[in-house]
Amino acid sequence: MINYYNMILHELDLGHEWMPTVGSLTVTLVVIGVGFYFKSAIQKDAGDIVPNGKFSLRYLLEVILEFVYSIGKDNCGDNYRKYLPILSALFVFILFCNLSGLVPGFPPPTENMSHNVAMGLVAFLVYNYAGYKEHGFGYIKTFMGPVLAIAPLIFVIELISHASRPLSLGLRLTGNIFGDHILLGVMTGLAKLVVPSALMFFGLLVAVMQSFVFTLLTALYISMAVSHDH
Amino acid sequence: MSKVISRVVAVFTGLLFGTLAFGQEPEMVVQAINLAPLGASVAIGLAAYGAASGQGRTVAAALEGLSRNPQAKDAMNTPMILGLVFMEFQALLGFVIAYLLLN
Repeated sequence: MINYYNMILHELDLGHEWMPTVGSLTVTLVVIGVGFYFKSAIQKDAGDIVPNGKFSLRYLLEVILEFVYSIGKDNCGDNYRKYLPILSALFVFILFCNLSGLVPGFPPPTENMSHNVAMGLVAFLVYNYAGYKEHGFGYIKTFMGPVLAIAPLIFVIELISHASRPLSLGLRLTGNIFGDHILLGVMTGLAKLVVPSALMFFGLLVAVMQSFVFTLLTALYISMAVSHDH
Repeated sequence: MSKVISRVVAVFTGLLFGTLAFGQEPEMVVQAINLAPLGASVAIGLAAYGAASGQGRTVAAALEGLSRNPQAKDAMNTPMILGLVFMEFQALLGFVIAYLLLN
């Protein structure tokens, strides 16, 4: 099976374990390029509210970012504008990572567990920092539960629950993308021509769905950390 | 009752000495069977069965509620997707275990 990342690694005399790093770097460069294009396209015709009727990457990105905006607005509470950058960065990056797996020869970097748990740890740091900024040192009270007598028990349970969040975020994304990629590989081996394209459509759905789920869960964790009802 | 107990004890004693007797045979052929593919198949099958059953019930209930009250679509969408995701995660754990069993 063709794998362009392995070809690059073979040229650089690096081992197989660097493949998700190279894939992530490639996708990061693509996302940075797309971001600069989007910025220049917005600055070029600033002030036009009505779209000019032609399909371009700019309007596609506007649809995507409007979707992320609705996720943040529905879930993140009143000060949702602060959390829109991290949410849109996560969504666009995971979406591009997942979609790069649909191009033959480019394995998606999100099928590696370490890549995804790293993103889950970023989400973990972000929502804990948001909770700390919102509550100050009283943020530790949200771990304690309402009754002081059983606070040590609740604290341990909450600690386990919070520690499992980045793991479950990473494992969910890994399992979906890796399973989808394996299914695509097996079906390509069985039937060379028509059947894999149907599975590629299914992979498109999985890619969009998983980036949506990762962003939605991050938004929900942020809203749980900054809420005042404890 | 004591007769039953004594019979059970006798049967287990016989089994115990039977294995000892087998163990003393010098040319016993031990054939190791790799049961890992069987375990992986059972794991992914049960995980897929449970997740599909739960997701089917969820979507059926959501569609029923949606047909009774179509205006509740926006409020219903996010909790339904969250429930589906958490069910799917169990299936993914089965997939991961099956994959680890085969390697």
